[in-house]
Parts: sequence; C-alpha cells; structure tokens
Amino acid sequence: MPGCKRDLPFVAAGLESRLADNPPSPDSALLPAPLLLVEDEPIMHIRLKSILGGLGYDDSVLSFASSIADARRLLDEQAFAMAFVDVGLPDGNGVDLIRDLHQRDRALPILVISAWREEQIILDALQAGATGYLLKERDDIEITLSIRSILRGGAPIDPFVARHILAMIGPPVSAPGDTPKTAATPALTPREIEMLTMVNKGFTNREIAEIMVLSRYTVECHVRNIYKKLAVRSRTEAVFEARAHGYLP
Amino acid sequence: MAICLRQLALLIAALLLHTGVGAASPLTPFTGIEAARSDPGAETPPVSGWRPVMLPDDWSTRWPDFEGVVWYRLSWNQHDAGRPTALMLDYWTLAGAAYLNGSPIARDAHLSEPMSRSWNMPRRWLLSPPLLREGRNVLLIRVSGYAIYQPGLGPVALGDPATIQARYDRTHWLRRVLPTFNLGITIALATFFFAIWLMRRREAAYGWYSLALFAWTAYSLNLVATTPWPFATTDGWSRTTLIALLLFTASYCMFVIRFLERRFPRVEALLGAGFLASLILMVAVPHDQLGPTRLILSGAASALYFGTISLFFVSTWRSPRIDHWMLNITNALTLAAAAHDQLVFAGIWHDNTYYAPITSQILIVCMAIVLAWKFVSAMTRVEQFNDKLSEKVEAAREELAVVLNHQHELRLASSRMAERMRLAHNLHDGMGATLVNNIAALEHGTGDVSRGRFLSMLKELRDELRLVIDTSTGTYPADRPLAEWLAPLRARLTLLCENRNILCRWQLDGLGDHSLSAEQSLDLMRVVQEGVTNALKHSGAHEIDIALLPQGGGLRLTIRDDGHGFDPEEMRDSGIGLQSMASRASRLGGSLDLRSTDEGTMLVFDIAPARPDKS
Repeated sequence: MPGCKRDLPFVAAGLESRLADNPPSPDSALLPAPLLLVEDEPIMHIRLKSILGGLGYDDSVLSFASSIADARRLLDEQAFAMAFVDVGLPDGNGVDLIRDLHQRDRALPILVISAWREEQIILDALQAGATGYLLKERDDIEITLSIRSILRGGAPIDPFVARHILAMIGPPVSAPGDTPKTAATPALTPREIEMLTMVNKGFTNREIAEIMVLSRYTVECHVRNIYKKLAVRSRTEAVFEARAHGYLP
Repeated sequence: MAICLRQLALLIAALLLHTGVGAASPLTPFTGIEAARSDPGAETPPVSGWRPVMLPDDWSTRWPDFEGVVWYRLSWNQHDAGRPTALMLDYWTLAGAAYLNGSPIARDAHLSEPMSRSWNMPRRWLLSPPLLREGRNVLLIRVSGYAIYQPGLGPVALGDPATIQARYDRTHWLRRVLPTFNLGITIALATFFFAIWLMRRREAAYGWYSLALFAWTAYSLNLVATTPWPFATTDGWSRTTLIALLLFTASYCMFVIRFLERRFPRVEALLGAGFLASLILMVAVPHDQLGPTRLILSGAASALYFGTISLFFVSTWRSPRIDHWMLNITNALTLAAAAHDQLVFAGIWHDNTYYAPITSQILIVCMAIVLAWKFVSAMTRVEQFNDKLSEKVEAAREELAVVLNHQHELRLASSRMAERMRLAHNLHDGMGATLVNNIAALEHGTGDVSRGRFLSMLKELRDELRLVIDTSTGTYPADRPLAEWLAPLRARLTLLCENRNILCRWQLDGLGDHSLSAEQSLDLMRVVQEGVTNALKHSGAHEIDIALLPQGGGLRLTIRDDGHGFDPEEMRDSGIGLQSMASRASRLGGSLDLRSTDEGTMLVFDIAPARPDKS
C-alpha cells in the first residue's frame, strides 16, 4: 500500500494546495489517457465530454461504451488509463464490470457513476475496486472538482460514505476489553479514522487539511488508501465467505 | 403384580407346609379324657360328675350358661417312665392350673377376676420321674371361664420330646410370635399413616386408614395380652375388643370411600350413628346379654366389612390401577381369614386359631405395594407435570414470540407507512410547492423566461429532491443530532464556496445533541440551502458565515455575507426562494428577518422551541 506524503511545512502545504486548487490549464500531457466511459445515456456522454473537455481532455482519447458488452469489446482492443462506469447499464450491473476491471488491472483508476445517492451501490463499487465515485445529480462544477481530485491522485468523499465506512469498522471509541477487529474489517490507521470522522461531520478536504495541518493532497491520498483497503477487505472477505460456503477448498 | 402374587402363593404354601410338619413320630394316646364342673372356689377336683369329652372342648356346648370352674382329667399309660416324654397343650380358656399326678405343674396368676388370659397361650413340659410314673398317669387341668367366651381346653399332646417341641414351636409361633410381630408392624404403619394425615389433612383416606389400623391394634391386643390390665374384669376387656373391631370396620369403610375419592354423606352419617349406638350398647349391655350382643355386633361388623370390600370391588374391578388390585386381593384374603375367624369366634369352627394374624402379614405387604404405587405414581405425575409445565411454558413463550413478532411487524408496517407518509408529505411540500410556484411563474410571468432562469428553476427542483432524498433514505433518522443532518449539506455547500474562493465558516459546535423532528430538520435545511446559495450566487461575497445556535430553547440560524447586498423588498416580490423561505419560517413557528445593505446581507431565522410530542 503506497504511503501518503508526510506533513509538509506550513508554507509548502499552503502553496501546494493553492496550486492544486487553481490549475489554470492542466497540462494535457500529464492527463491519464485514453479514458473508457461506460454510460448508456447519450446526454451523459455530452455532459462528460464537456466536463472532461474543460479539464483538457480531447474527444479523441475518450472511448464511450453504452453497455458492458461494448466495454469488453473496447477493452479487448486497447488498454485504458482510467475508466468511468455507470452502475445501471442495459446488459448488467456496473459493479460487476468494475470488479472485472479491477481484477484485470489493480492499478487502473475506476470511477463509478451513480444517479442519485445510491449509498449501498457506491459502497459495493468501492469494495469491488472503484477508486472513486461521481454523482450525476451534482452540478457540473462539483463533478469537475471530483474528477480533478482524482486526477491529482486523490479521491472524492462524502459524509455518507465516511459514515458507512466508520460503521463498518465498528464504534469509534472501543472499550479496552473489546475483542480486536476481525481481519475482515479494513485495518485503518488512527489518522484515517480521524479523517473519516471529520468527513462525516461535513468538513471538506480542504478544511480537514487545515485542521490536521496536512496538505490537501495528503488528505486525498488518505481517502484513496481507505478505498483501496475497502477493496482489499472485500476480496479477503469474499474468499473467506466462499470457504465458509464450501465453494473453495 | 405377578411377582407379588407368586410371593403370596409361596408364603401360603410355606405356611401350609409348616402346619403339615409334625407327624414325625406318633403321639401317645390318652386312655381317657373327662370333664367335670365344680365350684368356682374349689381347689380340688370334684368326686363325681365326670363326663368323657373330646379335645378341643368348649364346655358351653355341653353345659350352656355354666360359668365357673371345669376340671379336665386326662389319663394315659406310661410303659417306661425313664423314657423321655413331653406334654403340651395349646391353650385353656380363660385361666387355669395344671396338675400331674396331684402335683401342680402350671398355674395362672389369677384364677378369679380379674382373670389371667391364657386362651392363646400354649404350654409345654418335659416329664420325668418321679413326677412321671410307670403305668397310669393323670393330668388334671382346672379351667375358669365364662360360657360366652368359649370356655374349655385346647388340644393336648403327649409324646416324644422332639415331636412335641416341634409342635409347640409351631403353635407358639402362630399364637405368640406372629401376633406380637403383627402388633408392632400395625402400630408402625398406623403411626406412619397418621403422620401423613397430620401433615396433609386433605388425604382423608390416610387418616381413616390410620384410625382403622389403630383400632385393629386395640383389637389385636386381645391375641397377645395375658393379663386383664387395664380392665377389672374379663367383660371389660371383651367389650373393648369388640368396640375396637367395630371401630376398625367403620374406619375401614370410611377409608375405602375416601380411597375411591367418593363421598356418601348420608351413609357416612348413618355409619357414625351406628357406631356410636353400638358403642353405647357394648358399654351398657349387662353380662347375661353380652354374648348375643357380641355375636350380633360382630356379625354386623362382618357384614359392613363385606359390604365395604364389595363396594370397592364393584367400583374398581375394571380399573387397571395396581393399587386398586392390590387392595382387592388384600380384601379377599382378609375376607377369607375373617370368615374363618368369625366361625372360630362363633364356636362353629373348633381349632381356636385365628388367621387374621397370618393374613395381616400379607396385608402389610399389599399395603406397602399400594403405598409405593401411590408414591411412585404421584412422583411420576409430578415429573410429568413438570414436563407438561415446561412444554406449556415453551408453547406460551413461542406464542408470545409470535404475538410479539406480529406486533413488531405491525409496528414496522406502521412505521414504514409513517415513513411513506412523511416522504409523500416532503415531496408534496417541497418539490410540489416549488413545482407549482415555478409553473405559476412561467404561466403568468410576463415575457419569455431566460435560459438561465429556467435552469435555476430546474436546479431548485433538483435541490429540493436532493433534500427529500437525504432526509428520506433513512440515513438520518429523526433522533439523530441536528449536526449530522446538516453534514451532507455542509460538505456540499462548503465545496461550492471553496470552488468560488469564498471563505465559508460554519458554527455548529454549540448544537450539541440538539435534534428536531424530521419535518423541522428538512425545513431548516431548505432555509440553509436557500440562504447560502443566494449568498453564493448573487451577493458576490468573499466570506459567508453560517451559525446555528441554541437560543432560548429554540434555535437561531444566522447567515451573513460580505457581499454587495440586495433590496429585500424587491427580492421578496420576485424571488421564489425568499418566498418559500418565509413560508417555511412561519411553518416552523419562527421568524425570518432579512437585512441587506451595501456591505452585506444578514439573514436571521429563529425557530421556536421544539415540541417534544411531535417527531
């Protein structure tokens, strides 16, 4: 698991966050490309093209698939640097595709696109290996912020996601006599848990960075690591469950 | 039960065999057995009046109403006085003395009232010279008795000492050992039942059985006692014995009735009255009427006893219960013995051996079985009861679980229904109102609606929907603190501010665990969303301060920006957002105050104290 950059001196942190927040025009050479976008609604194609175009992407590096079958065909033809997957597709569940993509390439950044705040689906997708999520209901500007954060190597997070993860690892304050957390729960560091708690209270990444005296980049990196741990947890848990049900030796 | 019967048969066989043993060597025959009456005070045999008799002899059959002393003279020829010879007699009734060749060999303590009671006392002697003579020997027995008490002499045997000893042992066992043993057992059993009854008065059957046994004890004393104590006369003893017999029969009858778990109030009253009458009669009847009275009353007792056991048999002969069968067998045996004893008592049967002591042993075994059966079946019932009880408890628990589940489901259903109602209400209230307002604005507004205005209408609708979803997905139940409700909104609005380089400060720390109802929270969130969005979009502010603090039991929301402000009156007329804010404020029982200047806008929104009854 890659570690996040340790805390920077105040000035450097402020500088970096300013730089990161206001990218005048992202260098297209640094943008990961090509992108796979699995989305069945034509209007979302237009919207995503517009948002990604605003971030510096050229239409030529965007490959749109309207179904899982299309996506697989495209994947067979070429490799992608990043994937956007809608959860509701005409020929299946986007979460399955995400799991598949993640199995093929553990390093591939995958964003799940969800219509409204479908909490369980987003959690499932994160456990299947998604590195972030986009909510269609949000304004373009919010989606742009999320994608920018992902391109920086971070990950967007909302209070409800934080709350779900916190609930998954158990009560925030555990009594000394408590049994240790089972191996199936993600082993989060105290700093990560502290961060999730703040997210749950409605603090933005920038606010958290200021309060915890970290760079915003570090905060987003932490979030990304948390998502990775979720995916790892889900794999071990899946194996464990399969054994318990007698599907595996 | 089968085992019990076999044991019974073995016991009877053993008894029969026992009585069969004895004729090992022949007895020496008497050459003459004679009897003669004499004066009560006479110490020597009469000279005349001798008549030959057969033993056992009951002189009342020959000399009715004779009460006094009768002498018996038994003679035999002894060929060899040196040969060991033994003599025994089964009993004499009632008191007496014996002389061999003129010398006394036995004498009861009291030959006149209060007379000794030797009627059940066997005696034996080993005879030798000089008492025993060659040739004719004479045994004289002086017997004092009453005509009504079967006066006379029992069998007398003479012969080889071993033979006589065996015969004596058997007789002694039968007449002395067994009755004594029986008496002890009966007292023990009576005491035991009495104790049970004392501790458990409801078991009336035990009480009656105990009384019957005590009465039987009193009756059986007659078999064992050799002195008339505590009575002054033989009559006194006799009266008491018969009263004991009557008491036994009456109590036994009561026992059987209670054992059958029945009640016959009239019969029982009659029984009591009959017993009392008999008691008085037995105490008061003069000596010359005692005989027939005794006979009649003992006959009545026998009839009652027979009636009792017949009742029991008729009531239980189809019953599969072991205790019923045991009691029936017991009764049959007792009946047989009683019939025999009655015949002996009436003088019809002459062996002067009462069987009751023998059958009593069997009775005790049977009663032990009855008791054991009752005890075991009671224990079994208790255990079964416990099993049944736990089954019932289990069933009740399951039933309760079903009911509780049902109730829980009902509650769930009703809470789901309430949830749906709330969702519908929220949709109608928020989205519906916005939709209606926007439609009205479009229909009645002058001129075309700009693209931007239209977009903002749709976004307003979307924001409404978002709030409804946020508050309806069950993510933030009503009992959650307000700060948690606000978290998603806070995050989103802050992010939007950050993107516009607007400093957004939230002051929610003072809220603590303050909570509002779901509807109130939703209204509050709408106001926050509306207020912050206005400041964000229209004011050109650089800083927005949002504070939500408790204020006098209620809440005060303050949204302040440093923008260029706007005319509230103008906005109030045209701005849909402000209108809806005002309507929400009035519904929350609060007030909305908007002050806008060139240097900023301040929105103060007061919410009345939460009503705890509404959730």
